Amino acid sequence: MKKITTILIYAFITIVLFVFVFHYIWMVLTSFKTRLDIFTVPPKFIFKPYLQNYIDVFTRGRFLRNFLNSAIVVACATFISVAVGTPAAYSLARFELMGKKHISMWILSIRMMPPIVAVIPFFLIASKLRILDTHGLLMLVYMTFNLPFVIWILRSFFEDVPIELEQAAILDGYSRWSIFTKVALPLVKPGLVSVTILCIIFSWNEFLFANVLTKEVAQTLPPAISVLVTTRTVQWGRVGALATLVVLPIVIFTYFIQRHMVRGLTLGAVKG
Amino acid sequence: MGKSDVVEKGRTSAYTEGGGVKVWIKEKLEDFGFAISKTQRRFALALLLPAVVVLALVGVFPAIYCGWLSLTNINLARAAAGFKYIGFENWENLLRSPYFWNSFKITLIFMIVAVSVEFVLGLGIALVLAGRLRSKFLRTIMLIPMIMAPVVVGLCFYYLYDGFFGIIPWMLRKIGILGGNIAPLGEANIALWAVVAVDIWQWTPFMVLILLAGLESLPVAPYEAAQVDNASKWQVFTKITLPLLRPVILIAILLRVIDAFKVFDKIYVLTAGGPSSATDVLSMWTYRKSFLRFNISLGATVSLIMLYVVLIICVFLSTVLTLERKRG
Repeated sequence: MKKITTILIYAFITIVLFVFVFHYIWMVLTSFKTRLDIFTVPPKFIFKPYLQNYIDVFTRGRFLRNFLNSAIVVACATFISVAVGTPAAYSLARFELMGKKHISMWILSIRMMPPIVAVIPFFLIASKLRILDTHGLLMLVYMTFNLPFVIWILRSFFEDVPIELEQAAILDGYSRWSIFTKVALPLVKPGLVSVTILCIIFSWNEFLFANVLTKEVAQTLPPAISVLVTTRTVQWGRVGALATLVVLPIVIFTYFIQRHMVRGLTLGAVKG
Repeated sequence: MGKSDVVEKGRTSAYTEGGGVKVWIKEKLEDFGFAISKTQRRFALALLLPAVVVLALVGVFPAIYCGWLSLTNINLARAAAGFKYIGFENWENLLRSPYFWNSFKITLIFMIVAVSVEFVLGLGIALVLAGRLRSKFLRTIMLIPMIMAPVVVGLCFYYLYDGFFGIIPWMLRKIGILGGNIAPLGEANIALWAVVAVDIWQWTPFMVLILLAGLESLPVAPYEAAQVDNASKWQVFTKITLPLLRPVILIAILLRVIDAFKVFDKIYVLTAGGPSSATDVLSMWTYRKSFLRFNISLGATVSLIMLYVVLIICVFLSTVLTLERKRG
């Protein structure tokens, strides 16, 4: 009896997981199909793999350019957010500042702000300053969601650091600043790694800002992909290859911080 | 009554002893955060300041600017004509516009249906998987839908939904639910449900993982007590599991509600609001108004309404998050 339940549960897990990622699997399969195989009805599950789609992605179109743009914007936006957000998170976690609760609430509300609210003013101001379609603009704009996120999550990590350690450091003659950098920071390393990776994921996937604020020079991958389906004849093989390539790095990153993912996605409230 | 009495007594006795007033002042100061020393406060503010400045610049300033825009008549299509202050005309027009209310209704339907189905499915799956899904690899697979770029998710489903060679219509035809060469995204009465289905598909794993984390961190004692009392499985679920899980459930639902309210990327790729505005959620409508029709002021007005809605939900979320943080 017990054996049957175990088998049933594993079957259940397999089916559920398969259903959840089916759309991605199907895209990956499509990326290895010839045009003929793509348009076959009923859909083909077994076919001879075809690599031309991937070669096309790299040699035709502007994929490499968009990829580079994404990489630049994501790296800088993430770095700045973590650098500015970490001290703020420590400050909120450790000191009984006046109006701390209100500051936290304010930070959360910025994190939750619909991007469409920010994109209109940014568009107007950037076009006045003639900085539309630049990397710097996107990096700045991405702080609207990255910075509040870094502060919220890291605060919960800093709060987990036992205060006794820092008190002991005071007795040892450490300055306030070196307590922060030499005692607290090393202890929240897992937290730092997770927020960094989550910021990378958010910025990598961001679409609305990139779509409105960039056009050619600084266009990142998501808006570049969306253009592919709005054209009349969609080359699904190439789209599939592109989609596969865009998601792959994110999946690899996720594997390494999988343990902290739930904590990150619930803004530090639920510890997975 | 008893507890607060004791506290009161404690406080009064503190005054009556020598230096009582000092203690009282110290308590009051602690409430307002003045208790930390001056150098400490300076240090704390110095750490906080850069972030506050940046957030004011990228978070608060745009919202205020939107407020100003909503009181003007900026239209980029006739930028040469300039713009002027028109008071609350945009707001009046908007609240009278049937298109706005249609869009609002669609957003609410999208949000309510998607999040409730996600929650029910998520809870069901989490209950089955609780304590049984330890593998790092399998958990990563479960994370894939929610870490994929929404644009790519939209793209995948655009392909899966295609009327001619899409696998979903093909399967639906096989079981006889769908007739002919119907494309789910092309029919006004199906499109919204097709888009809701995509959201459910993408975000049910989120519910599963959060509820799973919640379930796996529940205390054991109440369950042992229930076993001693011979409680039925249903009783254990409704009387122990659900109440203990309530904060986690609230957080998961509130986060999803806010997210679903803002939905844009997937809709943009899948239907762009069509057919005949059947999937025209607020973000999509605002986007079209501001960047395709160039009526920036009207767009800013709608986006402000969205901001208010999100802020209201955010107050609840903040309360639950703070409570949960103190508890954990």
